[in-house]
Amino acid sequence: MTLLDFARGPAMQIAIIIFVAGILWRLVGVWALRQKKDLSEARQTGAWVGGLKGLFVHAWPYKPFVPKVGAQYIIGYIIHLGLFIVLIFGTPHMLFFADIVGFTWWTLPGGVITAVAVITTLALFVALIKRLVNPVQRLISNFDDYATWFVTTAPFVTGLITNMNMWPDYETGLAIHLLSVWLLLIYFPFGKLMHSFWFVVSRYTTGSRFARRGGMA
Amino acid sequence: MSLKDIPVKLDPGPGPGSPETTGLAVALLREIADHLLAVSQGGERQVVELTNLPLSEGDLQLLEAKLGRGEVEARINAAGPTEVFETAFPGVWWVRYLGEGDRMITQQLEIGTVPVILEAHEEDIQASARRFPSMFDELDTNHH
Amino acid sequence: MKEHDLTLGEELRRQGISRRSFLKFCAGVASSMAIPAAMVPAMADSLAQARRQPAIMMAYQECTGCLESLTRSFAPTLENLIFNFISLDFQHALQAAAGDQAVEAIKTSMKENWGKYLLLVDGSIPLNDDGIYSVSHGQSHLDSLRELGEGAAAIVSIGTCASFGGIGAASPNPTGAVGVDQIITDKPILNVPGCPPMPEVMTGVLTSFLAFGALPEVDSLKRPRAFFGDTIHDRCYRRTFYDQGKFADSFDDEGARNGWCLYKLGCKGPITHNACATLKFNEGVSWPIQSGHGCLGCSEPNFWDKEGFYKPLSAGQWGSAEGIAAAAAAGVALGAVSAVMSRRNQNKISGGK
Ligand code: HEM
Ligand code: HEM
Ligand code: HEM
Ligand code: SF4
Repeated sequence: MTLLDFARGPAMQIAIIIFVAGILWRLVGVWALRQKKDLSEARQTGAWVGGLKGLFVHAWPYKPFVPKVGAQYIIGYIIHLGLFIVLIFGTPHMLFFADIVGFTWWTLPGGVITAVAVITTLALFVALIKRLVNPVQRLISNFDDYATWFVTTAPFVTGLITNMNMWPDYETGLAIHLLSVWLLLIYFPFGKLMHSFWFVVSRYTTGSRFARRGGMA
Repeated sequence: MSLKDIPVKLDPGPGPGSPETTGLAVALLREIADHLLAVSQGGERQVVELTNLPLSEGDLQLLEAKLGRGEVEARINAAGPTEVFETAFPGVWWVRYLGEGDRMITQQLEIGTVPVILEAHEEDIQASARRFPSMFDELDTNHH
Repeated sequence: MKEHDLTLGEELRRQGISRRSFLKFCAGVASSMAIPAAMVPAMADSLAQARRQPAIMMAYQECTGCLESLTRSFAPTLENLIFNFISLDFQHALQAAAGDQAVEAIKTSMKENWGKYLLLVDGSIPLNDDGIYSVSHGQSHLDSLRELGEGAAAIVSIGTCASFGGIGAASPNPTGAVGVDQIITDKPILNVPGCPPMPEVMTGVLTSFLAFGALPEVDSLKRPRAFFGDTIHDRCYRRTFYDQGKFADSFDDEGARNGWCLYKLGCKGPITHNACATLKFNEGVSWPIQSGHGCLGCSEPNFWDKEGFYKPLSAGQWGSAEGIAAAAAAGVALGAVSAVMSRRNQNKISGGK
């Protein structure tokens, strides 16, 4: 069995098993917790509206904070949009998902995907540098933050190297790219990458609680 | 629906390629100029292999047009045909090795007095010198 | 004078084949192997000085497709020169002799040329039950290979079966078929995989063996780099469409008719090392991708066991989905357990309130 066969077969299966089990473990584990009762009297009805608003209101910083955190937001947007575009509209990636869901969709030319991937990778490095240079951000970063950064960046870098045919041989390169993706999946449930699930929960909860108390209406 | 309704399109494949030039032709001409200069000063014979270069059809046309045709044209029959012609620049030869049905096997530009494939090889000459006298034996037997 | 005492140059001259033919032959080989054209005269000289190479070609667990491919393209005047360079002392499908006579021919050639002959093998070799699943003239192919391998100067495995086990080794591989280099480990071995292999590769390999006295430089799978250095995808004329994102979605759609890239239809070109994208088959007529079908990856080990020829390269190999269903169930259970434990903890802290 070559490394590529391993990456396409057993490694993928193991990674996905860990991913699925881990995500469900964490989701069920949190959702089945006893909810904190809010004993205060509701200042207004329809807290859920506030919850939904909460999902969106944080999508851009509160005006006075823009000079301070605006750049961070922009970098964040580049990273996430880039990730989304490369993963959904890159032909090889679409085909991976199409194999699972059973239908195909429109994709972008390879050159566009490469350009997006390069920009995204640069943004990821800027984010890392910011994290290392900014004393406050550095102080509040732990191993998890760096691991999260690493497993997100690795598929970008390996994917680009594979696309540009810069490995000694392509098959091994593709295998390394795939293995880096499986690493991302395996790490996903156990670290801060869970934010892609938790952000809905946390923002909705924050928003609805504030609304109940009369804020964010 | 009949068979005729199915549009059949033949894929010409890599084929002649694009008529545009890539700039490679010009680079090649410069290389040939260098070789020619070296040979004219008594340097060794030089060969430029064309088949392995990613030349477009346009490049080849440009090369042919710029190099032109000279005084010599030859066709060799050894393991299939081979075409040789001198370009408008004496000392620059175009050699086309062809296979069955004039399929191109490889083509080269040779810079030198005469392409190697045209020369009779030393050992072939020696063999023919040995073979030649047997003609007289035949002539003799016919006489008697 | 005995045949083997003459140099190739002398011998061919007697047949009326001039040195020009050598030159031309070498020019063709050099171009296909990317050997500098300036080396051609020297190559022709040393080829003319070489002796006729004794060779024994053995057919083991095979389909004769490789031989078909080789003989087809050796027909034209130029390529068939190679048959003058080797003395093929045994090839069961090509020779007139059969039975005891044929076996005698092998034995004689083996004895006369011990340590000098080139062994050409096509077909895989079964190992299970002492190799009983593939036998000729009462001798298992396993024994035959061991015996012939011992006296060989070098071995060339022709085709994917002899190189990597091929179709005979396809899962579940009932006969335990393997390639030559899994059995013989102490000889120079060269693999020329492909189903069928490219004839030009054989010509190139044999010529460089004769002219340079050694097998050409190989990759990690013992394939000559000159031919197997690039992937199909690197040299594919449809590559621009891949880069532009223009793909055929089915075998009869607009894209297929326009000759767009076949990646979505399962083309394995990106992971397949071979020379067909440049040399093409049948004297340069066509090759699989030009005829509208994706590359199957036939020159790579286990190409038939990769979950389908029509599955895109980037799609996963799932096997069965049971593991994932079990993982989902396990995840939910784990989550429930941790929630129960946390609730207990919450109760303890809050004193049951
Ligand atoms: C719907 C899904 C997602 C949402 C809403 C989301 C949201 C966020 C937010 C709010 C942040 C912090 C602010 C920022 O730096 O932008 C963040 C950071 C981050 N996210 Fe996501 N995310 C999602 C999915 C993902 C996925 C799938 C990955 C990786 C595979 C990922 C990788 C990262 C990384 C590496 C950071 C840290 C960036 C830094 O170091 O500054 N995110 N995400
Ligand atoms: C779902 C599993 C995945 C598979 C099967 C997969 C497979 C591939 C393949 C086959 C290529 C093509 C290389 C080429 O053009 O020669 C590629 C490129 C790439 N992949 Fe992935 N990949 C996966 C997930 C990911 C993820 C999660 C990321 C990012 C976080 C990623 C980032 C990239 C990048 C940046 C490229 C280069 C794209 C380009 O420049 O055109 N991949 N991937
Ligand atoms: C140290 C670097 C980080 C900074 C400076 C940062 C900054 C912020 C800011 C300004 C907000 C928005 C607050 C708001 O207006 O609602 C936010 C929210 C959020 N961040 Fe971070 N973030 C960082 C890292 C991360 C990372 C690495 C993740 C996850 C991987 C993450 C996940 C989130 C989530 C999920 C929210 C939404 C929380 C909510 O609104 O309830 N953050 N972050
Ligand atoms: S047809 Fe196959 S080899 Fe050619 S460009 Fe497309 S994927 Fe690559």
